[in-house]
Amino acid sequence: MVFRVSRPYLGDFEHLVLLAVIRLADAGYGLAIRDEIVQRTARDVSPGAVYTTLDRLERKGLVRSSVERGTLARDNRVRRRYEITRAGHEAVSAAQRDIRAMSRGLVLRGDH
Amino acid sequence: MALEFEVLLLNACAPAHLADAIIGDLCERHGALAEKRGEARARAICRGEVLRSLPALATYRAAQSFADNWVFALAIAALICGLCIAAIPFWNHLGMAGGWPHVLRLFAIGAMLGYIRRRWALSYAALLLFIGVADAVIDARQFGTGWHVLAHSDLYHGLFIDAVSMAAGLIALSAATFVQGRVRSV
Repeated sequence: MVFRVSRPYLGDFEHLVLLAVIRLADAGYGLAIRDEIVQRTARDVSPGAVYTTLDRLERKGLVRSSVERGTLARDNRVRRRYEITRAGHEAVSAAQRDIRAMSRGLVLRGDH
Repeated sequence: MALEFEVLLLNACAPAHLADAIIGDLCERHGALAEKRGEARARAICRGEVLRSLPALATYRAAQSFADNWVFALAIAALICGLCIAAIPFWNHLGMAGGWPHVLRLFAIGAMLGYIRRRWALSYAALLLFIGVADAVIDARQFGTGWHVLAHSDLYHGLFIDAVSMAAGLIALSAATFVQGRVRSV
């Protein structure tokens, strides 16, 4: 789109993926990001969903990727490493702030 | 490699720039799982993961290629052109005949183009081309000059006004959306 809204909207899964990228810091590889989400949330996440979300986030300028050479274990296929950008940090902070603001004072049934 | 079929599927469905990394991950995972659980189990798990990945990858690839090419841009431009032509009989009844309503219409079309997620520039160019050809044909028929109209008419002046009107609509919408975004984020 020709115009840019100053704060990009984050979907639920995009939010999780960005948090995983932040957690993994220098080890933000596709497989590791997926494992991080599966272990912490117990969600059944497919690698395809993770990669398409990462690509969408990259297009929004919230993460950037670099390509590394493949190893024998990877059949010499390249490896993509994802890092969060400043805009990504801001988007996560804003989304977290919104969630805190909306949840404050609420007692949710799922908490008990 | 033990995963030829899965690799074939991924190459067919995943976006080209992601396929290699996804297949590499698959090979790495397969190797690790084969050591722990045996080849057959590793292969079954990997096949399951690939099959679950395919809908997301195929949909994403289709969406990207649809939105990022000339065909999409031309289709959008043709649709807008078609709608405008279909509306011609109603313009007079709506008091929308004449020069200024024409500029206003193009301004609105420019604003509509701004909503196309990608390739708005291509759609804009394609639409302008359509308008140019349509103007040339109309002028040629109206003045009976044939294709000499391309050399001896106000065609280019009119086209320039059309282009500016559309661009103004696009820029106005961009500015409005930008300001709205700023206000929201404060």
